[in-house]
Amino acid sequence: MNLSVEQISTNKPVTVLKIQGELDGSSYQTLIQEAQKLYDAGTRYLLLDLSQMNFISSAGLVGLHSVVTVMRGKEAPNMEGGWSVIHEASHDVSTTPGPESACKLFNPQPRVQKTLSMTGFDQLLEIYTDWETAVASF
Amino acid sequence: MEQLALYSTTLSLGEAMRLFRQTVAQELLSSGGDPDAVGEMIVALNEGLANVVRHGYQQQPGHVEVSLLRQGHTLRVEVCDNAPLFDPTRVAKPDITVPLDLRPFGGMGVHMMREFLDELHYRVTEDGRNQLTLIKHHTFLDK
Repeated sequence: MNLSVEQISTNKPVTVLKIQGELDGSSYQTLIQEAQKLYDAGTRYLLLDLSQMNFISSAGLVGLHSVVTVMRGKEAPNMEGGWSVIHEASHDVSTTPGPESACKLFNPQPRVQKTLSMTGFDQLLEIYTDWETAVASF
Repeated sequence: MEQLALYSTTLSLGEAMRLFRQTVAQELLSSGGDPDAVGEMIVALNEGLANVVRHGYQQQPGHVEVSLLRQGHTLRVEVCDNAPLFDPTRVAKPDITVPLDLRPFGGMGVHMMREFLDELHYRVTEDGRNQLTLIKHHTFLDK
């Protein structure tokens, strides 16, 4: 997996994080760390560009879930505790998204889109297929 | 039934899993598998193998045997391991309507297997090992 970052200034300062390749058990922690770095540096509007991400596993879904959590100002699950800790970890209701931060998805490939649909992520995250609409949505 | 390949290997999470996934995909594609069907089988197989290593072998490298079998249009993948006996087909279906704020991290692997496959079976082999069978119809379209 490769990550690249681009800043776009429209109505709001949007950070685009492009994920290329495979988001799986070998790479999801790198994604979470990058999201945390961006959040700490002031990013509040994050668009994940999935157009060149050709594989996502359930560990990759944990990565996406964690990025959303990080963008809401919460801590991602502690990976040092092992997978059972990750399974048990959940949020309290105070993690409801605030008006001043957001994470949205852009243009997942068909199999990734199917994965997002079958796991309900497509109902819980905004997904755009048109670039201008995606950027203007923040 | 025609055996396309048999792998007997020690798997660990991370890069080894990614490379094994690519090896299996290449074999299935070179055997005439439909790319979309093969891609979905690879996602499902990855989840099955990750569960074995993550939960069965407690995140330590462990031995697995993976057999790729073709029967007409159907692809059948059998996975055997020596981890403690566990039947993943009995894992309850997650409630996918739970908001992200309230749902636990993870827990989607078996659900993804069920969704991407036509059939998923578990049995204990005669020598006491886990055997998971992943079946996807309409994978080979030229017969």
